[in-house]
Amino acid sequence: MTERRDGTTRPEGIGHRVLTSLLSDDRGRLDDWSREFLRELEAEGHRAPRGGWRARAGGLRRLLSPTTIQFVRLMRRRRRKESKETMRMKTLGRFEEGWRSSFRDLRHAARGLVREPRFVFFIALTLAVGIGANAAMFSVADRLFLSGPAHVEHPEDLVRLYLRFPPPQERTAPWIPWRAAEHLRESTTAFSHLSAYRVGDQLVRIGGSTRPLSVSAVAENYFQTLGVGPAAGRFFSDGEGAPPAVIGHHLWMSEFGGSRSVLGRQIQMPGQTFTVVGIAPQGFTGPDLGRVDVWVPIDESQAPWRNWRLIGRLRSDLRGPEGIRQAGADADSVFHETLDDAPRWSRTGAFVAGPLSFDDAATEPSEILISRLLMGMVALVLLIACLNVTSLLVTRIATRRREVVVRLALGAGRWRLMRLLFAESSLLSILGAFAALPVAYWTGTLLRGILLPQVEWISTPLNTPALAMVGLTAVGVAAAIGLLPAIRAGRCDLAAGLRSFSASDSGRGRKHWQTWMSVAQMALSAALLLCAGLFLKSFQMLRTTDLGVEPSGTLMATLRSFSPGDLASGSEQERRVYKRALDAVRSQWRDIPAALSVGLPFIYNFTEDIFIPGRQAIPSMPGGGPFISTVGEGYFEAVGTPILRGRPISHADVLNAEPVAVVSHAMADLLWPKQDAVGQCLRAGSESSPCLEVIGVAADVHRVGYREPPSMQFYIPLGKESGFSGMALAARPPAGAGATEALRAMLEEIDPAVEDVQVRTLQSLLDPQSRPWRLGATVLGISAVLALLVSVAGVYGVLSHLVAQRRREVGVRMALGASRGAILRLIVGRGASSALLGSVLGAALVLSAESWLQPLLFETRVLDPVVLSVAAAILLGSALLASLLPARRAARLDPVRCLKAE
Amino acid sequence: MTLGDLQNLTMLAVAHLEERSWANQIRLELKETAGREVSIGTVFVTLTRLEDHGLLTSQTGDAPDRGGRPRRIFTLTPAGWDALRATRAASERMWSRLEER
Repeated sequence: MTERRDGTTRPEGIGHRVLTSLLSDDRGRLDDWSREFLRELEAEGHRAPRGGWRARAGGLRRLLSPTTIQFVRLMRRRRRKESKETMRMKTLGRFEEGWRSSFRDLRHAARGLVREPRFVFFIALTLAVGIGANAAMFSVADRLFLSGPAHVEHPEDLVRLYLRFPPPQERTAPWIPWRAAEHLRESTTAFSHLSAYRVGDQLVRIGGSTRPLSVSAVAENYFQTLGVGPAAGRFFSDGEGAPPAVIGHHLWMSEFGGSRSVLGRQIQMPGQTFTVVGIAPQGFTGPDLGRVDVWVPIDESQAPWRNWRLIGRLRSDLRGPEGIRQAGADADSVFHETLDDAPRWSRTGAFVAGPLSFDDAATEPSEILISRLLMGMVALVLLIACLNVTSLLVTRIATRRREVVVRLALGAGRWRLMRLLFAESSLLSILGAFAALPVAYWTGTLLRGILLPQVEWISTPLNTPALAMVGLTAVGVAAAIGLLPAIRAGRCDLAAGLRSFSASDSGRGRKHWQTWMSVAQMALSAALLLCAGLFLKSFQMLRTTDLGVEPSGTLMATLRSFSPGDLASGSEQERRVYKRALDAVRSQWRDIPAALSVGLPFIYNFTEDIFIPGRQAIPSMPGGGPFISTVGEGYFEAVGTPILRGRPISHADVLNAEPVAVVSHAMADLLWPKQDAVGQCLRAGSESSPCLEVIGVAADVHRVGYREPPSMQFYIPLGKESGFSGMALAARPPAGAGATEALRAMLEEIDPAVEDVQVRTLQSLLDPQSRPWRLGATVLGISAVLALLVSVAGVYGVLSHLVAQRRREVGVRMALGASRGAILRLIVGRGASSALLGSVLGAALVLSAESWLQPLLFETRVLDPVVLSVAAAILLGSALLASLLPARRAARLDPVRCLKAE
Repeated sequence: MTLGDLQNLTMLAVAHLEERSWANQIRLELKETAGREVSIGTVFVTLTRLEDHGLLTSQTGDAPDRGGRPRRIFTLTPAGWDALRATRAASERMWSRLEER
């Protein structure tokens, strides 16, 4: 082996060639130590001999001895280690250099921005609104439908079971009879666990005080089905001695101060005493989102008299929509093929399954649908904000053209220049993100209060998802608002820039950009305005829906006692205490309508079979029924239901044995078409029951909510009810604040047995149903106003800049005889055309989302002409206002001065 | 850290040879002083290992012989001296036990 001049070696045989290549680095170079090794080997006589292949093979074997191979391995390991170290140092160096350079850019950008505090304030505020609203909405959506109920394991594998009834009823209900629930638990194979539960308001005595709490009666495997563990103590087990109870974390903290000594203590509910055995984890509310204070096991002796909600965990091989469908089909076949003694009312129903997030009608709840829409809408607000800020930054680059040209002339690279502008946009975005934190907090608090007051929130509105959203959005915003100004600055022509050093950028391209940006902002604002208008109209339609009762003025009171014997439903004592309550109300507020009733709409609905003499079958109605209520004198007046024909039920009817009834308008039309229902005969319960003489026809009343098909309803005198109970007092006290409290205070003193008085307006029972539309109208209205303000500011900015740029053109026009009016029209026309084009594009945008938007509206069409016209008028008016100021400035220009200045 | 037999002898050779402690010279020293005849490859492997362990350090230096090529000259690091002393102490302890008998 000989050494070349450049230090590399020329191997003299295959062995040396192999060794040299093994010891060389990537570039084929040998280090001193390896070279010395090879040289010493050569000196030792380990040269591969020339000659025949046998001699060569022998020499090679000697050369590549185990020691040589060991040396090669050591050297290669050493080289790998050195190479890793070198890479690490290089990366560290690059990172450090990059960091230092970014820091320099940020410092420079900060110095530039500090000089323009008003500009920075406006941009930070604009971004704060967009980022904050998005973070707040994301936080709500996360709790509502993204993460599922707290502490529930794999909520996507849990389903609810429903009974779906065919036409004419055509309704879906979550209530399953106990017999069916038991049978399904034993016989279905689609679920690994199937559990029953129901949640209700119940009086609970803890220590000496009694209060209504949210109590959930659950099957033993309920917690196992949900996959949740206790925060302390245990959940239910088989063969308990004393009935056990698990308390919610909120009750534990508020009532027992978070002390573990609560385990083993007793709490009482009417007729039963429970021992606290466990505490649920914080925020756990079961499969629903409303707070639950106490969980108790189902009392199996009472269970058959009630209906239950069923939840099941899908078998591991069933997944997704197909798995849910199969689970429903399995439950249905088990129900219909192997269960013979199901209650009669449930036999026509078919079992279906739905995801855990579904509502009682087995559809996606309006809250979720509207939250999705609102997420889209607040994203639009952010988009408008970004467009506006981008437009302002591009304008700023145009005015800073001189600075850009000087930097380029002094040798700054275009990439460096673009990085500097990105540093500016990043700083603005960071400022916007910080300013967004209070916006997110306040918006989140507002959304929670309006949309989901019943939900137990486990964190503040500024929780981890909201903060993560603020951070991520800020990064996205920095990139979005920085891109266009950076590209424009990077494209700056140095030669042209130096030639027209004094002039600022007035290229045609930028004007087009700005015009299109203001049109885009207008279009998005128009879309938001339209959506807000549509929701406002829906909300208005909702509030003006004829429910057959007047929900806002009607108070409804129920009285409860802790002792099970007292005030028992249907008891004589109940009737006596309610009678006393009615007398007290009438003596307190003379001449106000008040009455007692069993079966008030929106609270208690009871159905009864009816028979008409001479008819074989009774037709049914899509809304179900016939619903029966027993009512006292003054009832129709108290709830605001008009009597259309005949007369209402009077006190004499209640006292007399003569059976009478008042029927609803739809029922009268169905049973006695083209006849007068008054005077007709109706039998309730059985064919042999006495004939009820129809004495009046009342207006149709909604029984459940705003959206429901007509149903049959009839009313009989109070006290004639059989098989149903649950009395309530309805009254319409004089309007004004304090009526609810006054009535509650009055009723609390009625009888010592009364331990809980619940007074609500009928409207409060309907409010949860109207809440999504109210929320939609409120949030969209606020979003639309903000978007409009930002867009109008954008139009103003574009036109002001236009006027400043086109002074010479305006001067020439005026010198050639154009009147001030013509100049005014020219500028205002620009603003108006942006608004008009924006309105058309916005309407097209909304129309393209019609199929998605229509189901969210209440009796309002997406292309509602009134809403369209009002939105367009608002947009046009705002744009005209925004363009008037720059137009006036242009019209007042002195042509001589303009031309001289140029 | 205590050293193996060959490592110990190699380190002693490096300490003894001082500025002449290159691979071939060490091999000769081992042969002449310690009576251990080892291949040149073994010396290279041992030196490389000791250097990787931080007990030796090396630098390229000119050989004192005329026209000689550059060679790696090894010296003991402080850790190398410590290891050498520790090995000696261990060995002496063993000997003293034996002498006590």
